[in-house]
Amino acid sequence: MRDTDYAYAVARVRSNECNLLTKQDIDSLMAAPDCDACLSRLAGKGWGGQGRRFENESAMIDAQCERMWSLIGEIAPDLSVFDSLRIPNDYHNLKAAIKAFVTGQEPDRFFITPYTVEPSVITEAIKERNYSLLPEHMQTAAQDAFRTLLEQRNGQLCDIIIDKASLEASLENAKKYGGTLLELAKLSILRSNIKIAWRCSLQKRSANFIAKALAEGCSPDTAQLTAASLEGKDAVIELLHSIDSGLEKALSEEGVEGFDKACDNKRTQLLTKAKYTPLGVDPLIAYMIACENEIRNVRLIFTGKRNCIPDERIRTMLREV
Amino acid sequence: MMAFLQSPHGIIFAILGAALATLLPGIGSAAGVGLVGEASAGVTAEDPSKFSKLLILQLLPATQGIYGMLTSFLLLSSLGIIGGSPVEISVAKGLAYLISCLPIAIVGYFSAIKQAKTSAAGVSLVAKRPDQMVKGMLFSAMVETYAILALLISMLGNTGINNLNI
Repeated sequence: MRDTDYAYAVARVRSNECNLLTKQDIDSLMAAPDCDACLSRLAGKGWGGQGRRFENESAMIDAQCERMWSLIGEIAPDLSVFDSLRIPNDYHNLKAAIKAFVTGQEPDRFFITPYTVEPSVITEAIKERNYSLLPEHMQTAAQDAFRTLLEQRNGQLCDIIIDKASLEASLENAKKYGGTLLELAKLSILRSNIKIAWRCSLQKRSANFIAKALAEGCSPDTAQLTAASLEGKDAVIELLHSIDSGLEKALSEEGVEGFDKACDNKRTQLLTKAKYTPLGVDPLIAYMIACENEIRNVRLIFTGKRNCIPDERIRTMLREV
Repeated sequence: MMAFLQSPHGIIFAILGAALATLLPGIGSAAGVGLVGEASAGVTAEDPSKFSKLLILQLLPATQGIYGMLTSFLLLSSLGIIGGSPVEISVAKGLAYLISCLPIAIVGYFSAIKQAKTSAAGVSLVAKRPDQMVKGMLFSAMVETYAILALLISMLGNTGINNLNI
């Protein structure tokens, strides 16, 4: 697909960028006395849809997320370009279907959108043990995760198998398009692998467990990360320093929470160039990431207000948009 | 070779030059206006009040097509084709007309495409900062300079060739 095919989509996105929350809007939300006031201020900004009223923040956030994907679905000349951003939702739905089946619950309320595989297909594949109904990249992970949960009752290992497959499938899909999508997929793997190596080093996990959890396809490779994790958290930090000193500083000074925030900010920085790109898919990806960060910030503010967390603490957790 | 160049069938090459001068910038302008039109439609879908500002940006890449048409019209007129009494010219003179038409044909095509991309960026600028529309227009107009230079050379060339005795 040529860059010029995105002329209409980029123009729509540029117009919609004006509706993103500004710093003043965030300050106004922070100054709101309670969650109801926040809801009302967001509704005033057209959040979740013009003129709509929401009972709680969860419904509003879901509506806003749906709105973003519905816009992208409407304007993007080829929605499959964004599969690497939707594939993690497919794997989340797979996780939900497996766990719901094993615990005897209905999985529908756990499914999230947007997806590339119909949740009903995932449910049927799990119920019938017919994994061939699933896309090829999902089949082995689905079978392994299901067997692990059913036979060993090990929910953590089940999650690890699915999360790893999700990251690797997203990376494979992003490789088809390259550019920003590939950079984002690699950053997701780096983020997940470093967190796993860090936590495993603290919990003194075995080499076998670490190797099972780490996703392939990104530098540093899984062998280096496993070795560093076995050696201890200092070795993980040292390894990360050789890749990205900014992320290393965040991890060593603020732990996993700070590292997560630094990764989100790095993701935003990756897309800074896209803000000035007149045509092509990058402005659309940048808009989606900005929307995701905005949604994350709003969620953080609501959680902070609900749990009476001091404003200063909330502000340190907010992401760049 | 000399006999061929002096033979009186040069009008074929001159007409080919006129055709290229209309065709290439015309194609470039059509593609360019289409591209900026798509981008403008995207902004108008969100905010119809910006329509008039966007229309100006959409028209900017259309000028190359007009320049090509103007060059062709003057050439065909000087050859007597429009008046209905075509003149006989040598192959050498016909080739000279053809070469003289190339600047506007080639530069017109590429500058229309490039100008359209700049205008599309201008559309994004208007989407976010409507008050900056004039700057968006100026960025796009800078590309126009080279189409105007090419038009000048093609027209001066054709006028000069009229007076050549070859």
